[in-house]
Amino acid sequence: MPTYELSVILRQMTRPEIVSTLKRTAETILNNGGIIRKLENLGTRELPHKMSEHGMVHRHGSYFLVQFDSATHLIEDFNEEFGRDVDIVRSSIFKTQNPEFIRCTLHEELLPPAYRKEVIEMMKLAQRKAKPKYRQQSGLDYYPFQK
Amino acid sequence: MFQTIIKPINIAVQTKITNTLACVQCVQYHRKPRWFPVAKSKMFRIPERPKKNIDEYNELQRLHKNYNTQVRLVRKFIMNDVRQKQEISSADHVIVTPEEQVADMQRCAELNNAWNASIAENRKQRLEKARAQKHREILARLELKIRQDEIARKAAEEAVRLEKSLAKTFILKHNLDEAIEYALANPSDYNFCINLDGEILHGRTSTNNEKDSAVTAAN
Repeated sequence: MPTYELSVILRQMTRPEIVSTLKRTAETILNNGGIIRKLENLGTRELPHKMSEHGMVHRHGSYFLVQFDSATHLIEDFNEEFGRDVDIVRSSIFKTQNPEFIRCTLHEELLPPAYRKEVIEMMKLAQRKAKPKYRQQSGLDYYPFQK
Repeated sequence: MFQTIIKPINIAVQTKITNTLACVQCVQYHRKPRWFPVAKSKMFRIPERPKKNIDEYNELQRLHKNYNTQVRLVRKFIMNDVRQKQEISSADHVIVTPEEQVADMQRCAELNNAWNASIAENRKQRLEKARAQKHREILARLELKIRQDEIARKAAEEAVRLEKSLAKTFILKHNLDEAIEYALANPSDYNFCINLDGEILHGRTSTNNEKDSAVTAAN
């Protein structure tokens, strides 16, 4: 079973109502053979814009994050179930991905251009592609390629 | 229409230029395009047959026949000559007896057998070499497969171990209420910013916190 992340915005409610809504949401997952790994509260705050849902206009919402494992074919059912819930303003399910390992290269990027590896390679390439040039120290006292 | 068209200069221009240049005309060359049909006026015109001079024609015929006869004679003469020379010389063919033929055949067969033997030897060596190479490759692949399987097995074991350790923190029906209470009591915030000193400041302190906290307090 892959791990998913359910991000929900609940409408502005009293604490017991929030608890019951969360319980309902979590039980939907658990009753379908899912496993809840984590449940996080991301706070209650103003929505980025007013949202109309189930015939109501919402300006504030409570953000919650539920990390769960579930069968892939159930995601559509969950989406439909949470879409019908009148207390949920918005919900979306994402597949969690392992965070990509990124090596910090800031100290290399802050070097002067002449010391940067990519610049050095670029200069080498330019030298390789450069056209042959007449060398002034060739000993001739005239320019032999004058047209 | 499709022949040379002589277009007089525009009258407005003509009036402007001097009298000496008034006779200048722009000549535009046109040729009838290849795909144009025969002009209607030329459609039923029968071109007149060129008249030829009978005497001249007879003379040309005579010279032509004369020339052909002479060339034919020369050719036959040369052919006869060559044929006679071929009959008396043995320059281009060797007369061999049946014994000589058999001996030659024998020699060719021996040479051929020797060549075949050497090629067979080479082939045998090459195939043996290839077989050994293939054997080494297969062994290397088998070893690689074993190593990869081992790595995969270790990774799977590690994943199972990790999941087992995480399984203690899974939220199930019996501890769902506690988890919800805990989450509501401890809101988390992933927002952060870094100041110029490289200090990480967690939480959304830069936003209008008073408003948010007022909302939270209301609940």
